[in-house]
Amino acid sequence: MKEVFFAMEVYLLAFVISLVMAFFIRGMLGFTQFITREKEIIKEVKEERKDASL
Amino acid sequence: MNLAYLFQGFGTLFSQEPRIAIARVVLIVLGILLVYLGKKGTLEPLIMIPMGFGMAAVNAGVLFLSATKTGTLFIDPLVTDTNGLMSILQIDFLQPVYTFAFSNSLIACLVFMGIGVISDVGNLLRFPFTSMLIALFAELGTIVTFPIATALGLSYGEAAAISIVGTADGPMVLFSSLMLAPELFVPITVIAYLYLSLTYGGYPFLIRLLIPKDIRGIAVKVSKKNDITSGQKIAFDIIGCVILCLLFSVAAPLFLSFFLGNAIKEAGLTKYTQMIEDGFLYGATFFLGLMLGVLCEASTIMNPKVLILLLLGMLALLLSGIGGIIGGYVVYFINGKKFNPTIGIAGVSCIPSTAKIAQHEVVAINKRAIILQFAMGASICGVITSAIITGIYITLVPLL
Repeated sequence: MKEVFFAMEVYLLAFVISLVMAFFIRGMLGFTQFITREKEIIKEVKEERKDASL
Repeated sequence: MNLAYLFQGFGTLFSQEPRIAIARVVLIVLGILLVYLGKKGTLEPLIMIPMGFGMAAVNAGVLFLSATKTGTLFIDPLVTDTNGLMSILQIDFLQPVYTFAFSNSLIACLVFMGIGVISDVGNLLRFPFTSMLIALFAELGTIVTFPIATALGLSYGEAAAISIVGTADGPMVLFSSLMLAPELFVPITVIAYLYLSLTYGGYPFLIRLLIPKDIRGIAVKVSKKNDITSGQKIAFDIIGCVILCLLFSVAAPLFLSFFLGNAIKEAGLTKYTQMIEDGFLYGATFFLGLMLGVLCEASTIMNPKVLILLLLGMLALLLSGIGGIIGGYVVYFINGKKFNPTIGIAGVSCIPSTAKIAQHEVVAINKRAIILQFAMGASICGVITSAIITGIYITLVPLL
C-alpha cells in the first residue's frame, strides 16, 4: 500500500509541476506578445508624429 | 596440442558451468537475430545492428585469462578497485568508452542533446495545456508499474528503474537505471531498447483497437496565429532548464543536455547543430548500441530477475500507450469532440516516432487530416514530463 501511495505522490507532484510549467508558458507568451504589441504601437505613434510634422 | 586452448571461444564453452555455456550460445543466436531484424527494419537498425554484433561477439570471444578464470578482451563492467581498473583500461578495448562515457551517463546525455536539437518546442508553446495533459496521461505505465514491480519482489530502486521504461525514452532509462539500479542497468536498458523497437510496430494496433474509425479520422483545426519566435523558444529553454535543475538537481545533466540542444538549434548555430546531430547523436547512439551488446555477456547478465523485468517492461509500455489514448479522449471530450484522440499516443515520448505513428494512422482514414503539429507538441511535452518523473523518482526513491 505504501508503494501505491508513493506512486500517486510522484504522479501528483509531476502533475503540479507540469501544470505550473504550462501556466508559465502561457504567461511568458502573453508577456512577450504584450511587449511586441507595445513596441508596434510606439513605432506607429512615432511614424504618425513624423507624418504630422511633414 | 590442446584444442581447447587453441580455439578458446569453443574451449571455454566446455570448461564453464553448463548454464553459462548454454546462455552464451543463446545470446550468440539472439545477437545474430537482432542484426537480422535490424537489417530487415523490424527493429531499430541504428541500435540493433551494433548491439547484435556486440552481443554475439562478446559471448563468442571468451578466453582463458588464467588457469581458472575466463573473460573477454572487450570490457569488464564489474571491476571496482582503482588498480584493477587502471590495468583493465589498458587491456580491454571498450573499457575506456565504458568508464569515461557510459557509466557516468555521458552517452545518454549526448543522445538527449541530439533529441533536443531535433525537437521543436514551438508546438508545445502553442498548445501547452493540451500537450501537458496528454503527456501526463501517457505516464500511466511509469506510475502504475512501480507498485506492481515492488509487489513482484524488486527493490524500490529496481522497481523505479523498470517503471521508467514506460516513458519510452531510451536515454532516460539508461540514466535512471545507472542511478537507481546499477546492478541491473544492463538488462533494464537492453529490454527498454528491444521493447521500444517493437512497440512502434505494436502501437498502431493499440490505436486501431481503442479508437473507432470515425473518431480516428477527425481533422483538428490549427490556428496559424500567435506564431512562436525563436526568442520565445530560447527563453522557454533557459528558464525551463534553470527551474527544473533547481527542482531536481540529480537529473540536471539530462535537463541541460535537452534544453541546450534545443536552444542551439533555435539560436541558428548551424555548425553546432550539425555537429550535435551528425556527430554526437549518431556517434553516441552507435556506442550505446555497441556497449549494450558487449555488456550482455552471459556471466554478467544471468539474473533471475530478468524474466520479471521482461514482463514489467512490456506492461509499462502498454499502459503508457493506453494512458496516452485515454488522455487523447479526455481532450476530445473537453474540446466538444473536435479533437482527435489518436494524438494521445504521441504523449508517449519517443520523438518523433510516436507522433509519426499517430499521423500515419489518421491519414490512413482521412487523407486531409493533419495532426502532426499537435502530436509533436504532445511528444515534446512527453520528454519533459518523463524527465520530471525521472527526476522525482531519482530524488525520492533513495529516501524511501
